[in-house]
Amino acid sequence: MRTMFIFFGMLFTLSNAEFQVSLLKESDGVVTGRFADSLLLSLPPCAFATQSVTLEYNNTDTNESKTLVNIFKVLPCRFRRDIISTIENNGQFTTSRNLGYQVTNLTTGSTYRFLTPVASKQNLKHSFCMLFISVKDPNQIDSGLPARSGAMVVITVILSVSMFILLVALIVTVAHSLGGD
Amino acid sequence: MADGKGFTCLMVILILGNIFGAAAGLALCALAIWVAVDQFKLYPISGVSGKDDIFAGAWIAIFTGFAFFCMCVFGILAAAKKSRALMLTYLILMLIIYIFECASCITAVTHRDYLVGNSNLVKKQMLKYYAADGDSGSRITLTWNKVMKEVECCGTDGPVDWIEYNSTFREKFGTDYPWPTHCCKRKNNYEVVNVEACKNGQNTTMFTKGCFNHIESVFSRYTWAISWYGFAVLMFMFWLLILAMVYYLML
Repeated sequence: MRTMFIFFGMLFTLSNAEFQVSLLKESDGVVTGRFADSLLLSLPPCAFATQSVTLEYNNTDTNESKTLVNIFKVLPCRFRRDIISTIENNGQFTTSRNLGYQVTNLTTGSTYRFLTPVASKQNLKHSFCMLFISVKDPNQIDSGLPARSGAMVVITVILSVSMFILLVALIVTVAHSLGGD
Repeated sequence: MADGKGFTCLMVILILGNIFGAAAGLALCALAIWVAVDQFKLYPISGVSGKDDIFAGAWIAIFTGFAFFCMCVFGILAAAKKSRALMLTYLILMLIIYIFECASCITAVTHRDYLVGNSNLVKKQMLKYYAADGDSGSRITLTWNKVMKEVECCGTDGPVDWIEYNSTFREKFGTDYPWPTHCCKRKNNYEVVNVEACKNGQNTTMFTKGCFNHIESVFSRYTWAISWYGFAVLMFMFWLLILAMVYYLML
């Protein structure tokens, strides 16, 4: 089982506010935040609105670094194009909700460390998140017999016993009738 | 033996029992035809894995069910005619049919345990054969596409199966589409509602439940039809044969 160990740090240059970067989960409205070679990360909160976001990540296995500079500005809670957002329409009004940012072109089986300084001034605060992505080989799935069900045992036992009884009874019947003749 | 009241009573019971047995045998034949027809079209899942004896049991049950019907009619004749030779023929042939029907019941329920005891076999098969080349690959792909569309499900235990494991689908098509587009919700004109949202995994635009529950319930239904109903018929025939042997001894 190969695992990709991802280490995130989001740095925000702002007032002493702290921000926790994390993977999107089912409660955020997606099936999973972990794909084979990409991840869905949560967005900085609207409190950092108009701050430009730079994401720097480092593959700790191969020691390659990559920086995505000014990928988007932190949203003032309104729709933006590169962000994954969902639009919910219940027939009366439409709401759009921004879910997260998808980091792509990652390598399966590597460890990554993410850092995001929001392009501004001082006061960097770190926030880390540890993530595992595993891609398993389907040939390792054990598809043998899991267990014998109760139905199978009952049917087999009772039918086998009844077959045996009938066979013995028939032999006895024929023998008795032949002996009697 | 004396042609007393007990003897006549036994003969009547035997005749009535054979009438009921004939009806039961015919019903078994009809039920087995229903299973063999496979209205849910899930045979490839069992066929490709080699564990298709639920359907083999159904074919055996078609013939044994009809054979039970014929033999019970013959049994009525044999009992009414009070003929030893006919009764012996009846007993021997019924025993042979009984043994075949036992085989059908046991093999159907055993293979059901192999197939859907847990989701591993179905999941492994889906990952290996979906979008694969070859006869098995195309059969599995068509079956899964049909199931995903009709039951509105994705993957075996869920769409995460496609991400957690490597698959023939991913090797063929890359990681752009994490799961087949059949997992996406579609409009009435069969167009995908939102391809990008489906690729990102937004749960309002795709099916999030797994297909295994449906597959397991279908195979279980087929198995209960063959093995449990077959078992019930055999238990009835067991006592009928014991009575027939007693009757034969009294003749």
